[in-house]
Amino acid sequence: MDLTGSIKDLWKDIYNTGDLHHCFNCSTCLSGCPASQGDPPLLVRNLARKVILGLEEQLLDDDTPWACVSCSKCEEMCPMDVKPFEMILAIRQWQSANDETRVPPSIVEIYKRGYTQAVGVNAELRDKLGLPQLKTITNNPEQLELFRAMLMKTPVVSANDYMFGG
Amino acid sequence: MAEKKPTGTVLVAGAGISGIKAAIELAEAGYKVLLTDASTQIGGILAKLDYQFPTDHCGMCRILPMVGREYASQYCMRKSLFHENIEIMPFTEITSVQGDAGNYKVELLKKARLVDPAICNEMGECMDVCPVEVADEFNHGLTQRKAIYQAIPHNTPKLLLIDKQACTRCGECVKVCTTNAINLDAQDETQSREVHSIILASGVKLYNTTEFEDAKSYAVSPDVVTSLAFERMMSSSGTYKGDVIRRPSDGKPAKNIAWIQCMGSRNRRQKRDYCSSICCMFALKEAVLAKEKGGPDVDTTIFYMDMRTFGKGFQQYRDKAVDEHGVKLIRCRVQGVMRNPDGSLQMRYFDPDTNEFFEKAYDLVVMSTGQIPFETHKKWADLMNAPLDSRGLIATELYSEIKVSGKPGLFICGSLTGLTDVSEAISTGIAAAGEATNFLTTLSVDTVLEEEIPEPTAHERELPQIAVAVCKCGEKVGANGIDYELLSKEIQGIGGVGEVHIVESICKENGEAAAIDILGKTKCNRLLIGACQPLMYRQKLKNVARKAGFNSSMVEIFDLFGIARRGMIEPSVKDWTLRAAKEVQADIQKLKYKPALHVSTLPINQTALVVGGGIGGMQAALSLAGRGVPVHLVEKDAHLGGYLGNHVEATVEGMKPVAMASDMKLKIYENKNITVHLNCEVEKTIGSLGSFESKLRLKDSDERTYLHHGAVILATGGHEGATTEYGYGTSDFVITQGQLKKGIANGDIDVSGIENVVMIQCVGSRQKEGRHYCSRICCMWAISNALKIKGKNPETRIIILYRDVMAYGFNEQYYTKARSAGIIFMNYDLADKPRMEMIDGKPVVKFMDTVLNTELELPADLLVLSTGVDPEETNRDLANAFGISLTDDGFLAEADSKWRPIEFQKAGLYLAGTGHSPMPLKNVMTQAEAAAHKAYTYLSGREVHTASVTSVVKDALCIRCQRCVNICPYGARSYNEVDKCITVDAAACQACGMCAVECQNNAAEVTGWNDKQLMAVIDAKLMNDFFSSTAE
Repeated sequence: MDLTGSIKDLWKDIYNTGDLHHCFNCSTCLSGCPASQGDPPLLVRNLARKVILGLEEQLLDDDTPWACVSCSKCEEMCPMDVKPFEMILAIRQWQSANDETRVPPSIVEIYKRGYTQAVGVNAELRDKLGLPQLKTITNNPEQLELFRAMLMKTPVVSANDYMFGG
Repeated sequence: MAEKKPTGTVLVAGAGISGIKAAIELAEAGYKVLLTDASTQIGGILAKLDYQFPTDHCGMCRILPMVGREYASQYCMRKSLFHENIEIMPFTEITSVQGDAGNYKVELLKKARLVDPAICNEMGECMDVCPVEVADEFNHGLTQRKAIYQAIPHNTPKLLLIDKQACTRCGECVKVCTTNAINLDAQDETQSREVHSIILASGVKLYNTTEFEDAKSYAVSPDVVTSLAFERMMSSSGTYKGDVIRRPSDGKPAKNIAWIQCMGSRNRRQKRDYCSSICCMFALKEAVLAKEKGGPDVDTTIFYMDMRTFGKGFQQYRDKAVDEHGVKLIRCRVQGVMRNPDGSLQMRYFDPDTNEFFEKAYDLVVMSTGQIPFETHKKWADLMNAPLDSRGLIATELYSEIKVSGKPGLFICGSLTGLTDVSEAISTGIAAAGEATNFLTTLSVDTVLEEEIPEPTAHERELPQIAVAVCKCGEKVGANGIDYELLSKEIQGIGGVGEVHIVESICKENGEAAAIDILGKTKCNRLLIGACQPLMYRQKLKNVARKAGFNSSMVEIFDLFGIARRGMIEPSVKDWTLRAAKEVQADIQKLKYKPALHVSTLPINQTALVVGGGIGGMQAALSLAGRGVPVHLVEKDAHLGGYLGNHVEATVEGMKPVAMASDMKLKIYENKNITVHLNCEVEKTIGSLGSFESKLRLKDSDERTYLHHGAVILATGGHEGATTEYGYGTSDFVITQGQLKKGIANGDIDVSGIENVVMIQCVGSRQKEGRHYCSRICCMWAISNALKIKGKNPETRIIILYRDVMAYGFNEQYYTKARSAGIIFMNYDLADKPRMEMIDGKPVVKFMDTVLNTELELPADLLVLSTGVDPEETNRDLANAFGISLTDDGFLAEADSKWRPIEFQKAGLYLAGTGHSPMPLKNVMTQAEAAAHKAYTYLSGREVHTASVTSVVKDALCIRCQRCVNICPYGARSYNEVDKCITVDAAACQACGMCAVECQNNAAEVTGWNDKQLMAVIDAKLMNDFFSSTAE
């Protein structure tokens, strides 16, 4: 890849702090990140590198920032205080602002079932353990319809309604 | 009547190795030293370590002065230190310092040990009966000790003390003590002392994993230990007695061990943005040793961020650890450790070599803990009213890491200058002693006057009649002691013994006088003294012997208490006494056959020769000349200054070498004691020990100059490395860091139009084919140049391709500064180096980004190569001329890389600066000062006493095969063509005995250790059944 095509000052648009460049690639953020077990893995260190180098196209196409589960381990353990979690949030915001076709995968999940995570799946297990059932919107079709109608009124969902069919 | 000037006295606060070295150097120079340490024993961190890198063994004894070869075993330094001019005060705090340079009044608090070391005869029964057991902090809690204990398990003397917190005051120890050395009510003592100068050598606090929050995610099990605890686990006096390393929790052998680097350091969030400099090396050492002890099936893995192997011999050590010992290095910092149900330790990491995640279980995890300097520095700054710099450390002068800013007479050394390895602890220690000596010579003080005791005649050809003096420990040795009457009777019965006398307390003044009186009246010609702790009193006992009329080579000393105790379980007085008597047999045999030993003195020529007129050489010359020593300064170029002084305007710390060299040149030419020889090289040097003659050749001429001198300092320096890689030499856009530095400074390089700069580190370096060493300064040069460019043109994109960023110590802060200025650092592998292709006249750099795992390329307006430092070619000629050796890389080879870094094997020769190895300016200044001090001490002795114990040639048995000449490591033997015999240079001979081993005809003999003596000793021991351990 030819770096002459990269945007040197891109980081100022994405994550304009004095913290970003302190990263010295120690990989602490990688080794403890739960989302790094995913496929594709979230590699926080690599995101920082892409931001610093200004690889715009690569960053716009990268879905991995959305896999972050907000556990904050990277933020707490980063020796250089890069605040990588803040950076991930910043990348998400920048992506959403710079790509009108980008709808974060998590919004699709929210539309589909009401939550980013599949909170309804443990119904059987909860019964078996004698725990009360959770009142989830997923299991309540009427509420879910109302919820979806509400979401459809937002610009990001309505502009991309083809994604939210049915 | 001339008033007697006071003796120069220096307080050395801190008795770790740096403090000990400074103290020894000052003591050898003739000054009195007060050596204090706040902890219960001296030795600092090194007392805990059996092994140091890169030699993988100890060697601490090598810092002792090389004297007294008749004491074939220099006592083990890890056991203790003795020197007549040093007053050692462990367990002593400095509570206040008043006054100023030349006139300090120090208040000391001597904490109560509750056991008087002057009286204690180390029987150790008190420890046996003490009912209290607590965790032993020396072994980091891995073993137990009693409330009355020995602070260091291997110390001599034992220096017992009582832990007041743990002691229950039951009094059992008092009951069994035969000398009444224990006083449970002893109080701390305050003392007021006056000193002329102070050296701070306290070291710094280390990161404590129980104290700091960020260690919590790692320290989850007793099997996660600190590096110092691991050293104790490896030590033969430690947890596992030097055997296989085991897990503290269940004792199982540790087969899978991981190291986590940078614990507590390189952490901006915790305000500890610095590097502890030595942890990479000691982790490598620990990994190698773990495999050696546990077997080849022990797996060792080091998780690191940068592997900082910047010192002399360190890169080679790292390569050996990986290639030969199989130590795994993984460039990944782990986030935490988890304890599995089976007790193993789980760690997850990302392997950059395979780009995969791994989860592995380990038996043992070692946290490489570094320094926490700020507290210690602040404490001293407050106590001494000294300034702190912007980093929060004691401020030193710009060009010195030793001299405290604005406080003449106050110096620092050792880890206070930045966590140092052993060789830098030693050189800063010597330099501090040197600066203190410089300071003392400006005051009206004297050195210690040595008592001249004439040596009586030996009477060696008379029939040996041995007087035996058995020393009682006053009247305090009671029922469990020795039956002196029985002992005397037994000894009297041994053949060769003339008289036996019981004397008392030779160690004390009146005891000494009484002993001299009694022994002076004997009719005997040889003397055997039986005393307790003879190692401590060797010199004193020999002086007593001389004053009593015995030639000191006709004297032997034996340890009356220690040896009798060994091997017995429950001694009765009679058994003990008989055993002592048996032991005496062997010593008497040795003494009977001992020949007289002769000492001759040689005068030392009082001039010094300094080879190399760079900044290091000039500093050494000025330092010596300032103390009145005439110096010949020889430089092969047409001008002084060397590489730094002629090519480097500024360093990243703000030092200005070119300007500094100009100042120094002026001072040199003004100084009447210094004679400068430009355009000259040393062709040949002959002589040894204090008397050398050197032939200088003027360049391009037949002119020769002959110089006589006593000591030599080689400060031959180095220069920027050459290369043909990356198109260097074929394009104006490919330059070296040195060229960049100069170009920016003199304006030749205009950075205003430059868009992209690529710097490549380690060009031709740190690899077996090429410079197999790290040149230490290139990372900082690159950072310095990059910051300069950014300062002039913030828009420039600068990418630095590195293998390891050697920003050790507080240089880490410059690395951080560079990154925050937007300079991008990208790691590359030696196996996949960057490539350069010229496209349209511009160097296009193609490289693998090991983070993104993608090939990147960038056309550079400027490609800057860090080519490292090459030693001078002329080192080879100098090695021939002086009879010294070079390392494989062509640098000067010092006597010992850890313990004697600025001396050569050959006495009277020293080295300093880049000729030793590439180093920053501050270190050059330290070494130059240290070398000057060593040379000065050597010269000011005025005379060399050849050792009384040397090798001699029994000419009639010699067949002139010259095997002894070849085997001598000191070059002390040679074949004399004229007289056709082997001659020994008694001054150079170190009595190692290699010649005696090698000679097939017994023609080589070490006086005082001949075959007859040794066979008699062996016979005596075997005859007396010494090795049976039955006690009846």
